[in-house]
This record gives sequence, C-alpha cells and structure tokens, in this order.
Amino acid sequence: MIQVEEVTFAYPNGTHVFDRFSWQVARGEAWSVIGPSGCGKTTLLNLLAGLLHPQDGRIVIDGHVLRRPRPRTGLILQDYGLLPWATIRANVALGLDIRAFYGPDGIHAPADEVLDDKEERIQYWLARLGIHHLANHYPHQVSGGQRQRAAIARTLALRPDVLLMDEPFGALDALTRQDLMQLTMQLHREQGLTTAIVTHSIEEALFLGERVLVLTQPPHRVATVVPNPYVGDPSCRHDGTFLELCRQLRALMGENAREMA
Amino acid sequence: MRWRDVGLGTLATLVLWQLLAWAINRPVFPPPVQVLPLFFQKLGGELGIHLLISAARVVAAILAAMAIAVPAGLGLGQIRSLDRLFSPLIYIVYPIPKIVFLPVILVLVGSGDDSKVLLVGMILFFQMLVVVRDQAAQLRPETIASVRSMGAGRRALFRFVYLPACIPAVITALRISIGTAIAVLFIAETYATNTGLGYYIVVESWGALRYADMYAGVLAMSLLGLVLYFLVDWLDRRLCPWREGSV
Repeated sequence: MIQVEEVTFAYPNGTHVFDRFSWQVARGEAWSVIGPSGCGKTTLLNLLAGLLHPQDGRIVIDGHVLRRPRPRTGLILQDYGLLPWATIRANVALGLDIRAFYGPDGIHAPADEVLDDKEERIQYWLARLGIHHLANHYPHQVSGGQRQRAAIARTLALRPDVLLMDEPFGALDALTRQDLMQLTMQLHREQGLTTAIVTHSIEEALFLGERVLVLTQPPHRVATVVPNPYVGDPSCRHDGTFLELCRQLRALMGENAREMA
Repeated sequence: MRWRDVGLGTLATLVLWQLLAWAINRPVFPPPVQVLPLFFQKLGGELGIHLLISAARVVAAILAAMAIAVPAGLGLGQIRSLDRLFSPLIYIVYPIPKIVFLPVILVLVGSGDDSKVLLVGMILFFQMLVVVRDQAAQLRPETIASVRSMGAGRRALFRFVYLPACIPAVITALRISIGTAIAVLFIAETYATNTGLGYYIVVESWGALRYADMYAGVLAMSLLGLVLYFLVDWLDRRLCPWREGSV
C-alpha cells in the first residue's frame, strides 16, 4: 500500500532526517512509529501526507507516486486541527465542503466522489463518534477528547483508505486516551484502514501498532521494525513477554539517547 | 447594547441638552425642542442628501481599505520574510495622523469624492492591516496542514481558512477606527467641497450663523456614527457567533 523508496529528506536549515530510507506498509496494516522527540517522526508523517516532498527517492501509495496530499489519505494531528470559528458539525463537514468546492477533479477530491449523501455521512460520523449532541458547539466549548473525536469524524467522513495520526492522544488524560485508542483500533478494523500512528509513548505504540517502526537518531537509513503480537489487547499488560517487548523498545530508543549524548 | 438602553441613553442626552440650553441661554446653543423638528424636516431634503453622501464616502472607504488590507495583511501574517521587509515601514507610518496628508491629497487627487475616500480609507487601511496581519500570524501551521491534507489548495484555503479567520479582525479594526474615520471625514469635508455633512455643518450652517441647522447637522453626523457602529456590532454577531462569550 505504502512504499517509501530510498527517500532522502533534509530541512533547509541543514537537518538531515532521511538518507536513502526505505520502508513498506502493506494494505490494512496498523503501524506505530515511535522515537524520541526531534527524531523525525512527524517529518515522516508529513512526507506520507504529501505535505513535504523528498529531495530524492519517492513515496508510492496505492500504486501512485505521491506528489501532493492524496484525497484518500486522512491526517489527524495532536491538536489545533479544528477550525476555531466553525461548529463541530461544520468542522466535521469541512473535508466534504472542500470536495464540493473543487468537484470530483481527481486532484483535490477523488475522481469517483459522489457527495449526494453528504448530510447523511456527517450525521453518521457525528453519531458514530458520540458527538452528535455537540454538533452546534464550537471547539473551545468542548473537551480535548471530544475535539479529537471531531477530528476523527471529519477524517473518516472522507472515506480514507490510509489514516495517518500524529501524537493524536498526547494531550489527553489517561482514561480518555485509553477510550480513544480502543475506538481507533475498532475503526481501523471496521473500515479496513491502513494506519500509521506517530507516538513517543511505548504503551500507545504497542496498543495501536501490529508493527512498530522505531526511529532513532537522524539521519535514518534503515527501518528498524519490531513486530507486536499484542496490538489492541490491553489485557496483556502484565504478561512477561509484553514487558520484554517494552524493554526491547526502550533499549532501541535508549541507544539513540546514548548516541546523542 | 439593547434597544431599551439605546432609548434611555438618547433620552438622557436630550434632557441634559435641554437643561444646558436653558442654563447657557444663547443662540449658539439652541435647545432640542427647536433643533429636533428642524432635523426631521431637513432630513427629508438637503440634509438627508448630505448625510447620504457622507455615508457613501465612509462605506466606499471601508470597502476600499478592506479590499487592499485583507490580502496584504494575510500575506504579511503568513509570509515571514514579507513581514520582516514591511513591518518597519508600517511601524513608522501607522502612528502618523493621516489627516496631515489632507493638503497633499487635495492637490494630488483633487477636491472630489476620491480625496475624502482616500484619506478615510488610509486610516481604516492601516488599522485593518495591522489587526489582520496579527490574526493571520496566529493561525497555527497545524490547522493549515490539516486542511491542506484534506485536499485544500490555495483557493480552498482562502475560502475555508484565511477568509473566515480574518473576518473578526476586520470587524475589530472597524470598531476601533470608525470614530476616527468619521472625524477625519468631517474635517476633509470642510475644505474645497460643497457636499457632505462636514460642509453642511461648517460652511452652510455655522458660516451663515444658522445655529439650529448646524445642530441638525451634528445630529445627522451622530446618527451616521451610531448606525455604522450598530452595523459593525450586528455583523460581529452575525458573522462571528463563536466569539460570543469567549472574548
């Protein structure tokens, strides 16, 4: 589904993040991307979202070389993704409004997009995410968890096949986070999504990713991948092998910390 | 403000005016009982036309200032290098009272409507430019990234992000500067023209010692300010409902 092929990327200030970096994601897989802050996780996500462009190499999604944001890729950020001047309903409708604005041109919106059922889709996702009763509230009037639910509803209303999330639950309290992580896994399975979730929390990475991509110190050349049999299973937290996996991830990230020091 | 408060405020002003008129007791300070009938009588004629001309000048100045200040402010707020280039210039020019350019503008642009609109527009322009720029600079890159990821190009970003983001800024700028704008229009209309409320008050009435007419003109000018102020208030509630209670 996603092929990152020998991608090289550096910021204009000289920070070299990826150096002929390759990585593959199969359709329907759930991936976590983990690493310390500043390691380039968000850069990778922005590259996958088509918001940044590699200087060398290419990213292929669903058989097409990525050159701009792809209509069927959804992106959810930690916060600030919602428009403060629009109600929750209008925020959920935003992506569909943008598609209606351009029409099904194949560039900004999928060429086969039909928006006849726009209102039903909005209502469905408001209800599915349990924020129906907040439709007429503004983002500053609802909680952080409810804002993230709105961001998820907005993205899924666009019927994506790839879902990218950047530290989506970082700013939430533990209970809300657990709740939303479970919902995310449920939606991942139910919608057959290919997901990549960036996080710095090992617990989150292991809950949300059947495979974990560990990024250490940039520039990244090889993808360090850790398979995770415990994805979506909160009951195994005290299992010995699970703790061993946590230790392994911590060690991988720790190496990086030592290198940096 | 509620209509009841507006009514009470008007009533209090009239009572105070009447009391002062009794106390001063000179032709230069006529009481409202003399001015009000004259005001309503003249509003249907000559005074009404001057009022409409002044109002048209202010509205034209608002629209012209908006047409330039909104895109310019958005550009400065979003493109840092542009802001670095222009902000020293804005910093220096912003505090200059624009009325001092009246003679220059009269010579360069002429004594017609254009000179008034230009002068009033300049005041509104700088106010809007600064507020819109600050508003645009506050837009989080995350917000723009997430809207772009939904397929929005330049046009959709303008329609769904930049435009709605700067409406409150424009309204705030109008609220701050509309009083000054009308004051400057008044002065501009007293020179080299024979239309507008400034001309009516200073040249036609004051100059001819028709004091009651002069006050009718003052009432018309107050009405213009009040109506514009209410309009801005109404636009705020209509276009920026999310601000209610949050600012």
